[in-house]
Amino acid sequence: MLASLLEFALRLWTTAGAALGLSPDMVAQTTAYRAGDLVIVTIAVLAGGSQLAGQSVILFVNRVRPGRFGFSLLLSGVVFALGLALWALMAWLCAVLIFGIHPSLLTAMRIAGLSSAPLLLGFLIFIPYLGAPIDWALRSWGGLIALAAVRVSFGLEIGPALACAAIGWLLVQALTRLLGRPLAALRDRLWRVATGAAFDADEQELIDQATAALRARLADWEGDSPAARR
Amino acid sequence: MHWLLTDLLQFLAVALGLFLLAALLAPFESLGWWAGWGARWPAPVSLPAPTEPPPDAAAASCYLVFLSGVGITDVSPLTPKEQHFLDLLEAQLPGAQIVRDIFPYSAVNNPLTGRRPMRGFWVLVKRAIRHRSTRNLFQLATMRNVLQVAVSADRRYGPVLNFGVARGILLGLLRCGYRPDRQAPLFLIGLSGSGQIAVGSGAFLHRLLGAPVRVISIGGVLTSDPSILEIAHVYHLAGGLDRTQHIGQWLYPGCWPIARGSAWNRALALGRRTVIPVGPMRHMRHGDYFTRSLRLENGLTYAEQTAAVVAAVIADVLAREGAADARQPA
Repeated sequence: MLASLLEFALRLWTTAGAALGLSPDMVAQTTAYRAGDLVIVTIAVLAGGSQLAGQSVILFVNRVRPGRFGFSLLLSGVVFALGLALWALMAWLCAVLIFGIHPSLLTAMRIAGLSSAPLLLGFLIFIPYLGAPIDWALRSWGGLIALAAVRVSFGLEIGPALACAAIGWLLVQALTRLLGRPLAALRDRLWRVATGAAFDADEQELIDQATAALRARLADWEGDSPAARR
Repeated sequence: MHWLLTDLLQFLAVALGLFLLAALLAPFESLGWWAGWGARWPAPVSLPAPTEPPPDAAAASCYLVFLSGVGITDVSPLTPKEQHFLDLLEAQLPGAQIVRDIFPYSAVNNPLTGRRPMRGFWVLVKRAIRHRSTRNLFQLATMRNVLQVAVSADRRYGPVLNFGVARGILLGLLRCGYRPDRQAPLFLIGLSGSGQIAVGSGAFLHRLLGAPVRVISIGGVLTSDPSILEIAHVYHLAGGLDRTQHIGQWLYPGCWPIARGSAWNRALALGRRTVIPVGPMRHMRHGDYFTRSLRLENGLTYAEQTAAVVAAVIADVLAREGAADARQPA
């Protein structure tokens, strides 16, 4: 059991390393291991959790308790992995319908999962001042991985590979907008399940509420002060 | 030669790793306090019970809050240089109340040697700083506090830290007898990195008290924090040999002239910042704004010159406010 776990961890490490290094045979490497797909799913879930950890200010300002905090990271990882699968499906459809090639859908999903490897470092987005550039760099890195993998696995040149990835992403965005209301309801529900708090993402609004509350306390304080009583 | 390069690279990797770790942990104190993780600190919107103000408080013509530079571990006491400067200021502004006990690099006014997990380490650092041979260890406190300046200037975390510092300042003001209904003029004096924190927390003080808040930045590092638009005026004392004061304007694109619509450039366009050259002061150490052993051509020590300029700024504002009050119908 322990040996299997260690082997799994080692595979996770080498697979993430291969993806981060833009290795041309990164997809082939994963299929060589019998639990290779589980490794990719784990990478995607961890990347999604790590990304939310980097953006966790929203959990803190909503006063999420530590237990719920951990659960939110896990749930975010799962939702992120599902989003990647959707993107893979759209990119695969694009390859089939526009470029007339018939790659395996599973390969497309593996590529999408591997492209999330840089976001394993997503927790670094938490660093003050450097958060935004780190976020940008990690996403660009992920895009490069997807391009490299699509080019090798789908046998496409850079232009069509870029088109597949980009059109797939645009389709996901369009679908998200189209199903905006039900998706927002689902998001709110998931948020409430994970954090135990109402979905209240606006940090500025929460700070303004606290400022108004402290100002009201100050007015009461003044009324109760010894100077006012005299 | 190869081994030297390897060792150097290893050292740099370890230093980078430690820096990243410290940077990752920097926002935790503020965010943890806000989220209510751990019951050690009072809730963000709480106030202690009212107490009897000091006897001389009612006569205060204005309130000054001193926010120390980044090289400190705590504020009780302040460094001898800072105490000397504030004593000079007090002598020149006899009607002013000075709040001296704010540690601006913590949302809960908790100094590095206060109740915190690394307290023992910071107590050792504080002791080491007192000895000539280990004085440079103050750089550890500087690094930690500079990261808090970055937290204050970050759009994500700044509001939480700045709200906490503003609350700490508010409590300090109330302890010194400040009466919100009287709206006595309020000045935040920020040295070095606390220039940014003075601007960030000053905006919250303005919202809490409804009174104009002025910032006097002594070689302060200022950034493109939107809070600057809520500050009545920033008076920036600039030393001729102080390069560090410009760091914020180099690092934050909102301060670059190209970002015309940024809060910083809008504040400049509105004339909300006045730069006052004070002399050939450095940012830190011998020759800084509070140096007592160097004199200018006018015979004043650097500390006396800085205190005289700050006092003149405050006296000018008070005179203008007095004139404005006199013009108002009864």
